[in-house]
Amino acid sequence: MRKRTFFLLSLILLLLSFQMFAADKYVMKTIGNHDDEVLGVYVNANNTMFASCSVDETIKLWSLPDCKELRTLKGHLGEVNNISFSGNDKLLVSGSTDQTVKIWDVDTGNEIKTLIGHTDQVIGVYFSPDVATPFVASTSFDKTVKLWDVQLGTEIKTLHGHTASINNVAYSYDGKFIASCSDDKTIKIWSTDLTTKEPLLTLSGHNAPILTVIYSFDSKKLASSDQNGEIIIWRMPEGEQIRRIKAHDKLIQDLAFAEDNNRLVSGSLDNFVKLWDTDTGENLLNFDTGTAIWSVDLISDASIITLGCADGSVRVLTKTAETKKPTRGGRK
Amino acid sequence: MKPIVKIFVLLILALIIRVEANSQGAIKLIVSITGNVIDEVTKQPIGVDIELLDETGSRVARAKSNVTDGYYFITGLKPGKKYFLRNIVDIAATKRYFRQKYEINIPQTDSYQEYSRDLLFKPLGNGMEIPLRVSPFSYGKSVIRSGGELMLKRFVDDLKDNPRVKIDVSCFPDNTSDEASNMKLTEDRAKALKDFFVANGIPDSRLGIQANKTIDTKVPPPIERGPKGKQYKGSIYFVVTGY
Repeated sequence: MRKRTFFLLSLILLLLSFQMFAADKYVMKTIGNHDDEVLGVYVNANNTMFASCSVDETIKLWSLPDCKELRTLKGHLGEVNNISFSGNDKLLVSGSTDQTVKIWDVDTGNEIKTLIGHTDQVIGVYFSPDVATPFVASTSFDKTVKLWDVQLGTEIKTLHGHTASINNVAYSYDGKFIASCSDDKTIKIWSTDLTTKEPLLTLSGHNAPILTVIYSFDSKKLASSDQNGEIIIWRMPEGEQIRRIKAHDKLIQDLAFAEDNNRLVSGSLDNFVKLWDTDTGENLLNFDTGTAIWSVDLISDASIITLGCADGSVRVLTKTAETKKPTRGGRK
Repeated sequence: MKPIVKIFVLLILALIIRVEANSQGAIKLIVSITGNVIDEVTKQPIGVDIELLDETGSRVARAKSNVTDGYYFITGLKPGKKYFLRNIVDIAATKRYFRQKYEINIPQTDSYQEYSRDLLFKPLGNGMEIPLRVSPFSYGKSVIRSGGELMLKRFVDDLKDNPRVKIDVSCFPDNTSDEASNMKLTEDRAKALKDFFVANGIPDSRLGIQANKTIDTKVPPPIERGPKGKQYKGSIYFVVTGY
């Protein structure tokens, strides 16, 4: 009897430990390809779809969670560097080497507007969270951040301050701030009101060109990554450094927060995708994809991670142990 | 009549006059355009005279950009109209620029707005190298890729607006491989660009070509793979040879 109880208890403990171990296990699957390198992936707010953009000048839409290709959007005349869904998932914005920003209807795949004003290639684009009067922020190697009124199709504010090419931009989810990052190794925080044109804050701390910035969903954290493979977590809106992580051996082009405002995924040209606990700095996942990664995003509970790869493939990492029903987008 | 009543009556009268004037179109809604003027080569702000033209080409307003930050501001534009912003060429200026024109479409609006538009002007001078920021060629190729024409059309317009300007198209290779094949590649690229300009109405006599067998030392390829948007392709310059 004692032996049996001991055996049963051991079995339960073994199963529990397996469950804990398996919680961070992901499997990788290639779901499709572009004709050239995939520079961006972005999951929509409802976790029902994600978009990918490529050097091949196209954007592709994919369903979630079954990962089927839905349609291809064509219209840019250069590499499509970045994409972002609007707060209601009805629109998509893209920025391109052809120096334009384009707005697309997600349901039809039709191009709605082309926004012309940048004087060098557009690298970063981000929709405001406001659904009623949506704005788009864009950044370019022309060293400016531009704010566009989507309904009017007009440039309404140009922000100057960075002294080198600007790599990416992100709205805070409370809609109050825009963060931009640059080759000048600084992050600038701007007000989203239409009159203030000076930066509210300049954050210094990176030792290399900063390639991306992203707010957590509660807008209380900002994560940034650089060309040396380092990530910094900032407390916002104060702009204080919380944590530095030497995360990768090569540049980190993209980051994304999970909805818990804690877990952060990073993708690098060193072929690795990593998941981080931003409160403790703990490395939760270390996945060698075998190819350089340009872009990452995840659905809200981090059970699916989408990847844009330098070999032209679009891949997903799917968590094998837990299956939670998605509730809200893991938007970058 | 008490003062308070007088003020009230005056206010009512002013309101009536305003409504009447508005209905007759006497009070027109205007909007403004603002931005920064920048040297296309140095990317530094410049102070130049600019003029606002309406669709018929008539001057509507004139302004000067601030030499320190390139800032300009023009008001009095009408919603729903198309305008052009153009620099006023000053032949006595120490640094001259191409004559260039930017189209501005003002959207319909029912309230005062300020719209933004930055202006880039190409410097003019013998030997001046104007870089083509985005290569119209794929890596290792000499055929203008789909979409590359649109970016080149802007330069075609600038050449048409500056009929005395002559240029050489100068191309550099994408890598440090075989010099003979690099020479052929850059010659083919320069010819492709020249052919494009000729096909779009620029006389052959205004165009020359320069091929290069070695990479551009001013903008060498990176040792490691660069970030997004910085994949290396050989430089292309339009070198001013006469104006």
